[in-house]
Formats: sequence, C-alpha cells, structure tokens
Amino acid sequence: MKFWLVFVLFLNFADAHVLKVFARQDGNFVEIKSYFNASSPCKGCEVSIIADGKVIQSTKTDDKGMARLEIKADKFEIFVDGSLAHEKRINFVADMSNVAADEPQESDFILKFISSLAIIFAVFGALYIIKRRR
Amino acid sequence: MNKTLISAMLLCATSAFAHFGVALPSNSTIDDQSNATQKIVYKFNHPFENEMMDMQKPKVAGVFTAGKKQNFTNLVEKKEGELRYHEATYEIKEPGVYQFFVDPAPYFEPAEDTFIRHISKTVVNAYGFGEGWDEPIGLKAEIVPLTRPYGLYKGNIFTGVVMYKGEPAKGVIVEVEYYNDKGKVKAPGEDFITQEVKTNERGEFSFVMPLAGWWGFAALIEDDETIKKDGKEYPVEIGGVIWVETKEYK
Repeated sequence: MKFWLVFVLFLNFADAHVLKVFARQDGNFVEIKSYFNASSPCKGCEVSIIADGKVIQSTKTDDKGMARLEIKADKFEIFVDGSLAHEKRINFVADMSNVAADEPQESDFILKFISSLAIIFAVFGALYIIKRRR
Repeated sequence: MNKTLISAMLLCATSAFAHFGVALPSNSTIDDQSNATQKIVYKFNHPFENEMMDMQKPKVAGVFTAGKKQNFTNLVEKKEGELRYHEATYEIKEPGVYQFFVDPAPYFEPAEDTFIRHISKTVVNAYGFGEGWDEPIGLKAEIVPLTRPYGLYKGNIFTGVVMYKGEPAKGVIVEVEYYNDKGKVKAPGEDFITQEVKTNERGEFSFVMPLAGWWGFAALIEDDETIKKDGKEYPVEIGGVIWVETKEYK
C-alpha cells in the first residue's frame, strides 16, 4: 500500500513538473536557463551540447538553473537532464556574426610572425643608417 | 419607414450589444523564440458582432511583468474604414508571465448618456515560466484570475475576482462575449450574444467557455468619478476587462 502511495505521488510529481529550457546567445556564449517553473530551477542538472550527433561540450547548471558555455558550432542541440525522467532537448541556431573568432588561425600566426620580423628589420635598419651617417 | 426611424432602430439595436475594451496579443503562450515578438491590438468593439467603435489614443498601454509596469511608447494608430484602433509591438526576451494592459480615453456613448472606460488586460506565458498570472496589476478596475488564464481548452471554466480600487467587488455584473472576429458562429437570438454572470460576496465569478478562441470578461461598475462634457456631468461606466484564449485539442 505504502509503495503504491509513493508510486502515485511520484507519478503526480512527474506530471506536474515539466522541465523547460530557455537559451539565448550572449556574444560568444550561450546562456541556458532550465527550470520546472519560475521558483523551481533545475539545480545541478547535466547539460550537454550536441552537434552532428556528438556531445561536444557538457556542464552542470548552478543553483539558479543557469549554465553558460562558449559557442563552438553554429547549430546544436541543448540537452538538459533533470533526472527522474525529466529531460528536455531544444535546438539552437547561433548567430555566428556575433561570435568573435577567439582561437588564432594559422594565417593570423604567419601574418604576426612576418609583421614582427619586419618591425625588427626596420628598427635595426634604422639604427644601421643612423650609425653610418655619423 | 423614414430614414430617421431606421437610424434610430439601428442605434437601439447596436447599443443592445455589449461594449468591450479589447487587448489581444498574438498568442497567449509562447514556446518558441520565433513567436517572441508580440503584436498587441487595442480596440473598442462589440466582439460577438465584430462591430467596432472609434478608439482614441489610449491614456496608457503597457506591460506588467516581474512586479514592474512598463508603459509603451510605440503605439501605432490603425484604421478600419474611419474607425481608429491601435497596436503595439513588444519583444519578449525572457521567460516570464507578461500582463498586457490598456487604459483607454473614456468613450462617450450618447445612447446611454455615459462615458465608458474599459481597462483591459490579457496574460501571456512565455517559455513555461508559469508564475505571476494571479498578481493584480493595480488597475482601478481589474479582474484577477483564479483560473490560470492561458493554456486553456475549449470547455474549461474560467474563474476570477473582480477588484475595484484594490478591493473585491460583490454583486457586480460580468458580461462575457466570444470574439467572433471571423463571424463563423451565429447566436440563436440576441439574448445569447452577451452572457452575464454576477460576482458573489468575495467578488468571484465563473464561466464555462464553450468555444475555442478569445473570450472577453467585462466587470461593469459605476465609477466614483464623473466626467464633465458641454457643461454637464456624466457618469462613467468603468470596466475591468480580461481576455482569455481557449484552444482545441490537436
């Protein structure tokens, strides 16, 4: 009898508490908010970012049900696991024009290297010319 | 029959229908960010008959969310023929419960020798936030819902409390009309157009909504203020109006 009472209570709990996920872009980051209702955040819930069928990032929500992750793909799924059969999956499309490239590209590195060499040659060249004039 | 008689009959027929202040959003629930921009339409009409009255620019229109009021400054005047109505747009950026309200300029109804001021509101739930729909905005006349005023099915009951100057108002007639904007339904007789319920001792009323669509509830109270026009004081019918949407199962 006790088992059935607990079981029914659990079922009611599961029905009434639908997990919601809201996500928005903040520059290079996606902010994720997960909650059952306004005053019941999904605390410490597993968050996975899935792109092309693979989990590319994961984290946990804080006590306010919030998580913040750097954007690594233009389209991805956000999957939040609130346990006890509470899961929610949403699709997210990032506005990549708002995402600044934070990892240096190879071409950037070569350009910086050549610029540095050019500056060094220019400084020493100037010193050489000044010395010869004297 | 001469023209004057016909005009008088039409005037009487028209005035038999209930006036409603209208504040209708694009949708009463938002689950998807693609629907996050709400267009709120403000009209003054007979909703079942879909007959409009002219509406001056409202005194105030805005949104109440997270305990704070924000007044709109982006009202746009629109016209249907010669009759004015108004629209505002508002982008919902956060999960929350958003109560859109309008306090119109009082409308003089010569057939009733009275001014009508219907303070109207509607409630939108964004991203399943689900709390705050029962918070009073603090309008002079207001219906505070006891039934969650969104996510309702056709056939659900709606219960609310009529508040006037912050206190429950007993014995108040609440007129109820279906927004028959497409003209799809016909009433079997005039008595069926406007439904009426009366508030109990605690200011509460209930009504079962038999159709899918928007339902207007207008609690009608004689205001404690009068308005002077052409040297004469006229009474003001103040209305606390709420608009509630019902849908069918898919």
